Parts: sequence; C-alpha cells; structure tokens
Amino acid sequence: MSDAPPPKTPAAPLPPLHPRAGLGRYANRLDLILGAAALLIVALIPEVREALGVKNGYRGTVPNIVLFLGIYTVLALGLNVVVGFTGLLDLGYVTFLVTGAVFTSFMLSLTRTETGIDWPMANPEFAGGEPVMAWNGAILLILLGAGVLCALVGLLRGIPTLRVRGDYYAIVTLGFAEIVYEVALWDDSNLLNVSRITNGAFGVNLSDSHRPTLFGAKLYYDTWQLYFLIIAVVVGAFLMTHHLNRSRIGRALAAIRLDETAAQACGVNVAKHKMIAFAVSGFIGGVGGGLYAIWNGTVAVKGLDVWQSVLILCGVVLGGMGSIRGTAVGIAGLMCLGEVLREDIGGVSVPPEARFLIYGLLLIIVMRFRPQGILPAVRRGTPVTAAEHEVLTRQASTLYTLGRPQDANRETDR
Amino acid sequence: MADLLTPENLVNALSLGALYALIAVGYTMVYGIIKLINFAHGEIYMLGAFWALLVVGMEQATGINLFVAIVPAMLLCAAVGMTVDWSAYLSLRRRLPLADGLSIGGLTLLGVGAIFYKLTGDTTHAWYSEAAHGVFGWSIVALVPVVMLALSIGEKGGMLGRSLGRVSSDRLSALITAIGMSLILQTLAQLVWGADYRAFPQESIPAWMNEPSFHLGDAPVLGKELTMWVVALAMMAGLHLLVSRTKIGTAMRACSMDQETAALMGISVDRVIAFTFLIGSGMAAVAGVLYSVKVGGNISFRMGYYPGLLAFAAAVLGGIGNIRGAMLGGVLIGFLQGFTGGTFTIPFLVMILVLLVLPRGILGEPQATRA
Repeated sequence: MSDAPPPKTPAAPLPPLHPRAGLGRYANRLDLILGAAALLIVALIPEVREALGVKNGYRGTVPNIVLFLGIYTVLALGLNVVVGFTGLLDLGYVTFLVTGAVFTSFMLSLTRTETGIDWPMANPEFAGGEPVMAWNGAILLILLGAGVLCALVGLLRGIPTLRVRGDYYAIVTLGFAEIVYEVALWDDSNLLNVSRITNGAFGVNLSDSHRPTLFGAKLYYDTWQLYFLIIAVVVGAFLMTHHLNRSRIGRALAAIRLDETAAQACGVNVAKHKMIAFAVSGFIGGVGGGLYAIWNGTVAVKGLDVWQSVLILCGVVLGGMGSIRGTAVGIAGLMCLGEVLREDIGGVSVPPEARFLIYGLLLIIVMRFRPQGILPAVRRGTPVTAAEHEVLTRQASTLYTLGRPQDANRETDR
Repeated sequence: MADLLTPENLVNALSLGALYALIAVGYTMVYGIIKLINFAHGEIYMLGAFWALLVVGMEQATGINLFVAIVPAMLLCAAVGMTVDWSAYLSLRRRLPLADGLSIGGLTLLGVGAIFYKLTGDTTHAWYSEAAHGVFGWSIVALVPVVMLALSIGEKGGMLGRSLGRVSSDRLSALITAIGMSLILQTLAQLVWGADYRAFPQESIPAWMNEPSFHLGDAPVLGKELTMWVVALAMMAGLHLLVSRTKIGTAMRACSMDQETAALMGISVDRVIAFTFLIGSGMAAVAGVLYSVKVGGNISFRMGYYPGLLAFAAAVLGGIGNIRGAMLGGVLIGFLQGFTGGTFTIPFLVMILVLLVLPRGILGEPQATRA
C-alpha cells in the first residue's frame, strides 16, 4: 500500500493503540449502570411483592409480563443480529421461535416406556412411563440443542440468498416461515406425519411429569427458577450480541450493511460473515423459542404465525436497528403498548384487531422521520487522538493510511 | 403422483396461473422501477374484491352486473395504489415538503375514508357499533396528521437531530414501510368489514358463468374459469402493448434502466412511478374480482396474503423486473400449486431452489449486483 517497503524489524515496539482497552472503553458506562439498575429492579420485583403481602411473588401480572418481555427481548436481540447488524430484512423470524419451541416440547415429552422410547403426541396407545429429560438441569442441554438446531435452520435458510440481492432475503425467509407453518400442521395424510411431533392444530401440552427440572424444582411460569433462567438468558443474549457487534465479525457485518460490494472489495468474506450472522441469529431465536415453550406450557404452531415475526420486527425497528439497547427498549415499549391498548381507559377502548393498525403507522412514521430508531446505535467511530494518529500513521499498509490524515482529530464516522 | 395429473387439476392450475400472473406483473413493474417489494400489493388485490362487492351489494344485491362492477373496482384500486405510493413511498424517495404533505394527506384520507364508510354504511361490525371504539378511530385519524406534521416541521427545524442519511440502508427503510402499509390496509379492511367471509350475491353473476362452456377431457370448464383465462390473456397482451409501444411505456422502461438519466431526458419519474402503481393495482383488482367469483366467496381481509406472497414468488421465479418473466412465473407457480392440491409448500420450495440455481430467475438478465 505504501511506497516504502515495510521495515524488517520495527524500530521500536508500537505502544498499544487503546491503552484503556477493556470495559471502560468498549462499554458505555451509563449503559452499564442503567442495565445493572434495570436488572436489579427486575430481580427484586418478586421480593418486593412478597414483602407487600403477596403469597407467591413470582405469580401475577407483573412477573408474567416481565417473563413475556424477557422472552421477546431475547427474540428481538436475535433478530437484530440480521436486521440491524447485517442490514437484511428477516420476515420469518417466527420460524426459530416455532422450531425452538417444538424441539423443546418434543424433547421434554420423550418418555421411556416398557417397549422403548415413545412420546404422547398423536398416539392413542401411549402407555406412559418415565420422562427421559426430566433430570435436574437437562433443560439447559435442551435449550442449547434448540439453539444449535435453529442455527442450522438459519444456515439452511440463508444459503439460497447468498447469491442474490439483499432484499430477496426478506422473501425467502417469509416463504420459509410459511413452509414451516404449513409443514408443522401436516398429519398422516401428508408426506411426513409431522403432527406426531407438533400435535397439529392442538399443540403440545406439557404435562406435570414432563415439566423440566432445574435447581430441584419443576419449572412453571411462577417459579423463581424459571424467572431467573429467563433473566439469565436475556443477559446472555445481551452479552453475546454486544460482543459480536464489537468484534471483527461485527465490523465486517457493518461493512456488509453499508455497502456489500465495497465490503467485498475490502476483503470481507461476505458469504461467510452473512452465514455467521444467520447462525447466531438462529441460535438466539432457538433458545428464545425453548424458553417460550417452558413459559407457556403449550406449543401450538397454529398461534405462531408470521404476524409474530412482524411484531418482533416492529420492536427492533422502533428501538433502532443495530442498536442493542434500542432493541430492548423498542420491544419493551411495544409490548407495554400492547398491554395498555388492551385496557379500557376512560371509556375509550381499542378494538383488539386495531393494534396492528397502530404498529403499521408506527413503522411508516419511524421509517420516514427517524429510520435510526428511538435509541440509535452509538456510532462506533471514537475520535482518534493525536497519539493514536501517530501510531496509526507509523503502521504501514493499514486502511487508515489511505484515509485523510488531516481529519485525524475529527469524528471518523460522519 | 399420477392421481394429481387430472383434467380438473389442469383447469384449476390454469386459473391459478392467470391469478398469479395478473398479480405478479404489479410486483415486478414496481420492483423494476423503484427496487422495492411492494408488500401492500396483495392488499390491493383484496381491496379489488371488496370494491366490486360494494358495487354489486354487500348485504343485498343492487342488481348491477359483476362485469360492470369490475370497472369501478379497477379505478378505485388504481387510486388506492397511487395513494399507497404517495402516502408511504414518495416521502422516502423525495425529501420535500410536498412529499410529506402528500404522505400526511394520503394516510388521513385512508382513515377518513374508512370512518366515513362506517358512518354511512352498515354498522353491524365491531368498530363503530360501539361509541368507545369510535372515539379511538377519530383520535387516530386526528393524531396521525398532527404527529406527522409536527415531526415534519421539527425535522425542517433540525430538532430531530442530524439526519443520518444513508447510514441505515434506504432500501431496508422502504421495505419496512411497505410492511407497515400492508398492515394498515389489512387492518383497516378488517375494522371496516369485519372478519367474515363474504361472497358476491348470486344475482350479480351472469348465469352462464356457472355453466360449463366446454370440456377439457372430462372436466367441465365453467364460464367463470374461461372468463378468467381470456381476461388475463387480454390484459397481458394489453400490458405488453402498453409497455412496448406507447410513450408512457417507453418512459417506464427508461425509468427502470436508469432513473437519473430518464429524469435528465425530461421524464417525470415520480409521475411514471405513480402510473406504474396505478396499472399494477388495476390488474390486481381484476384478479381479485375474478378469482373471488371463481372460488365462489372467500372475500375477507385476509385473502390477499397468500396470493400476494405466491405472486411475488412468481415474479422472482420469472426474473424480477421482467414483465414477461412475471407472466411465465405466474403460470408456473399456478401449475405447481394446482397440480399439488393447493399447498403453499411446493411453490415456495421451488422458488427457493430456483434462487439457488438461477439467482436472476428464469428470464432475468444477468446483471451486476449493486449494493
């Protein structure tokens, strides 16, 4: 890149570029404090309710909304990897929710009977027996399996879109979601008797004996075990997407989002990085789907149609595509809005079907006036200090030296 | 598989092919010019059936022949198509006060239209039968323009922060707007007409449409099916002539090749785009009416979703942006669905496989991908 050949041995070891590398530099401190505060509040809700005289602080509207929000936050964070970081519109994210939930409920339903392993769905001769995956902690393994399965589904779904323009991804994901939706309802009159796993339109209902066990208790929506499992997964999804975004892969994804051709020209392996994004997004979605299965207790594919994807997408768009905290705020805001619209306020009520009218208007207005969302992603370019500029210009053959050195003290990402 | 290759299935496949071809050209023309998947197109198809239903009488028949009703349905759908463009997509393309004004006006018009219809028309369905819901309806109609106007003025005054311009992909914004528009139209239809499945009154359908006009093997071809094929063929031929022979057709082709150059040559690009929406919506309306006659009912706010999706698959299959490709793709998807007993899985699967092998579709020209 530069005219002078690079010296064989550097004259002096270069000082580290970012002496403050670590938490201080990479995480916005305010975010960290706010996040910790939110986490603390959420964790204390049940305790406070018990102190106020509620018998089981984990049962009730508020904790239930927290769990519901948590699951959808996980899903939205997963969707954000593809929509926000990579800039591809995924309209079939519900596929991962369905796959993860069905996988989880299927694994939990496996039963050891006298004749071998069997499961109760669509089987009138089911004899009953000992559940296979009821041992303490098995659910963690199942969630991991759901994630891996969905990562594979994400890869499979992504392959046909690698050779075509970005917006084909929207239609392939939508088509794939419809295929999954239709195939999940197949019964013995079709090619594959998928109802044997999904129980068709009725859905799988987890009976008491098939409930997963964690920390010595059966997981129900009103147990502290599930409450903190979901919180832990939300935190995990936050950390995962945050680190992905800040990593080399995240920067490659950002390059793909801004200009695929230019990214390729800069040496980014577009196909590989897109596949990574698909897999990560699928993994998170699968884990979210597994949590949904446990929380809801019933997995009916019939209710998980493509509007669920639109809802999650709405949350991501509203909060700010590519912004992790924005995604969380957006989906939380949308879910709370949905809950508020359910209520009758001062004699004014909203027809339940009109909620999607409001979501549609929100999408249009946000896209027109604030496409970056409520809490947009913080621009990753931190100003280059004079000392860093010195270091960077001494490093030959970096992209930096191709830029405009006179701009070194201005913001890099304009 | 042998039991699938029956004459009945052939008749069904041809009808589905005509349906998808009529919708797919609307998708492909819009995509060819503004590179946008117009998700609201399936909703236009649904509205076409509803407009015709209104003309021939929703509760009791007005005595108007269905064929006469197709004309106002086409005109109204063309108007809605243009309204969709102006109220959602135009202000994304052109950051002008006029575009924002049209957007505010268009969205308000949709809402006021829905309420006006509810006030004058029947009140048997959920929305306005309850006064409390009425307050909601009016407040939405009043709030949207006020909010948008405030945002628009605020943006001009620089109060919304620095516009990030192209930082978030403009194409992605347009796609999401299209989803929003589709949601709005679908929900409005549900609020206005309820969730029932409706059918055209028997009086409005000429008797010969339900009689066999000839036999294909041992399967009767009913008059309504024959009508559908003939009308679809005639409209395709007309569209072909329009695009290849007329001035506006030339302008459309020019815009799909290079909008900036077309504008320099004196073509009013926005007018051409509006015209494209108009033509595509009119054709979708015809498809909506004829297919609802064919299946004998099934008119509901949901009816546009699957045909819209499959027609888009057809457009992709034929090579998006290519009108003849959309026709071919429509017939192919129709055959795939007709001969497999009406599943969605096979057509979508084929579309995905075709994308793997022929990323540009069957008739699509090889073209460098631009970001």
